[in-house]
Amino acid sequence: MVDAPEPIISVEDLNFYYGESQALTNINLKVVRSQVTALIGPSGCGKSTFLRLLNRMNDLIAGTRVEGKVIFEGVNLYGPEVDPVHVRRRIGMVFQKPNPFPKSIYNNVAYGPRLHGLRDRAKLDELVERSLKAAAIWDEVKDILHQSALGLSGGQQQRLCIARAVAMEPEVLLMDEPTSALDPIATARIEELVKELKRNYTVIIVTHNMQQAARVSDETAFFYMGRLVEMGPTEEIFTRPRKEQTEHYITGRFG
Amino acid sequence: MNTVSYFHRQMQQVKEELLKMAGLVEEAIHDATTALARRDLELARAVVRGDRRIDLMQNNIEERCITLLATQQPVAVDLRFLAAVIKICAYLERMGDQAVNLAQRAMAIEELSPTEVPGTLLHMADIAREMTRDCLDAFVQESVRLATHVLRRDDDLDSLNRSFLEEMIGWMTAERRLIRRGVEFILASRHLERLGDEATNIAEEVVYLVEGRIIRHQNPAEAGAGPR
Repeated sequence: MVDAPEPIISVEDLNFYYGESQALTNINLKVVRSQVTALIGPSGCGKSTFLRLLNRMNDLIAGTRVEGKVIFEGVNLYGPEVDPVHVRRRIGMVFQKPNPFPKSIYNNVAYGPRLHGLRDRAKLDELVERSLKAAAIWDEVKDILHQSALGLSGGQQQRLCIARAVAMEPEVLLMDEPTSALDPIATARIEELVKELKRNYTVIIVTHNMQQAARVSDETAFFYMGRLVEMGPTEEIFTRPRKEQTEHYITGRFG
Repeated sequence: MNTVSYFHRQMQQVKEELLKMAGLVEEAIHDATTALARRDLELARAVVRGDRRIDLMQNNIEERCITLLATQQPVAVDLRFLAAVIKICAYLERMGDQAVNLAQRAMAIEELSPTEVPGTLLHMADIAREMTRDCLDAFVQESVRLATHVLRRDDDLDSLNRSFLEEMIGWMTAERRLIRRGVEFILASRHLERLGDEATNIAEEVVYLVEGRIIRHQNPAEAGAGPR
C-alpha cells in the first residue's frame, strides 16, 4: 500500500453546537494538499457549517460551541493562542452569492493586501494582475480595472471574488456553493477555474450540485444529519459508494 | 421529487424491456436446439425469422439507456445498471445470432441423410440453455452467487467443445463421407460454445452491477473474491 499523502487539514473528533442543538457530531477527516475536496449532502446536513468551521467563520455567530480539533499544518485552529483573523488569511473563503465591494475592480482585489499593510503601488499592481489571472478573469477586465465591480456579470463577479480571496495568498480556499447563483456557462468557467486553482491551492467546496462535485473534485465527503457518512475518492463515491445512505442520496432515492 | 420518480420509472421500463428481449432470446435458443435435436425444419425457420425482432429490441433498449445517461446523469448503482444493460442487450443480441446459426445448422443437417445428432452436442445444448437461464436469473435477482456459478459452468462447456472436436476429427478421419456432417456438427458445437461465452459475459456484468467490480480478463481466483 502507498503511504497516504500528508494532509493539510486534519479534523479530529469535531463536535459543533448552535446553543443546545448539536449541528455536527464526531467528525474525523483529512484533507489532502493540492486536491479539490467536495462536501455533499442534503440541506441541513452540516456541510456548510463544517466548511465555516475550517476558517473559524462560525466564531462570528453568538452561542456556538466547538469541541475537538481542526489541525492545519500542525496547529490546532481552535487552540487558545490562535488569531482567527490570521486563520482567515491563510484559509480564504468564497461565498454562494458573489459579494464584490462597491468599489473598482482593482480596489476589490487590492483591498485585503492593503489592509495588511501592502502600500507599494508596483507590488500591488503586480499582485492584482496575478490574482485576476489566477481567477481567469484578467483578459476580461484588464482594460476596465478602475470601473465599478458592480458592473460585471454574476459569473465575472464571482471570479473577481475568487481573485480577491487569492490576493491574500491563502493556502486553502473554501467555497460555499460558489456557482449556485450562476448560469451554466458561468458555472462551467468556475468549475474549470477550480481545477486550475488546485495546482497552487487546496480547495474545499460545498455544493448541492452532485454532478459538479463529480466533475471538479478529487475527494468527496458525504454528510448526513450532522455526521460524516462516507469520504473517499470521487470516482469511487460516484460509481460504487460503500454506504447505502450515500448510494440513496446520490441516486436521488431520498433527500 | 417528481424528476427522481420519473427517472426510476424509466429505469424500471428499461429493465422490463430487457427482460422481454431476454425472453425472446431464451425462446430462440430453446427452439434452435430443439430444431437441431429433432430435425425440425419449421421450428428452425421460425428462429431465423424471429431474429429481426430481437435486433430491433437491442436498438430500442440501447437508445433508451443513452437518453437516460444524457438527460439524468445517473450515478452509483443507477449508472452501473445502465452501463450493464447496454452491454447485456448487445450480448443478448449476439446470443440471438447464435440461435440463428444453430437453426441454420439444423436446416443443413436435416438435408443430409438421416443421422442421429451426437449425444455430446445435445448435452452441450442443455448446458448452454441452463447457462442462459441462470445468467438472466442472476441479473433479475442481482445474485453474484448464481453469476459465479455461470462462470464455472462455462469451463464445462469449453472442455466438452474441445473433446467433441477431437471426437469429430476421429470420426471424419475414419470415414470420409461423414465430413460434410462432421463439419456441421463442429460448427454447431462452436455456436453452443459461443452461447456459453455470451452467457458468461452477462454473468460478469451482473457482478459489476451488484458489486462495482470488473472481473472480465481476470483469473478465476480473483474473480471469486469480493473486495469487501
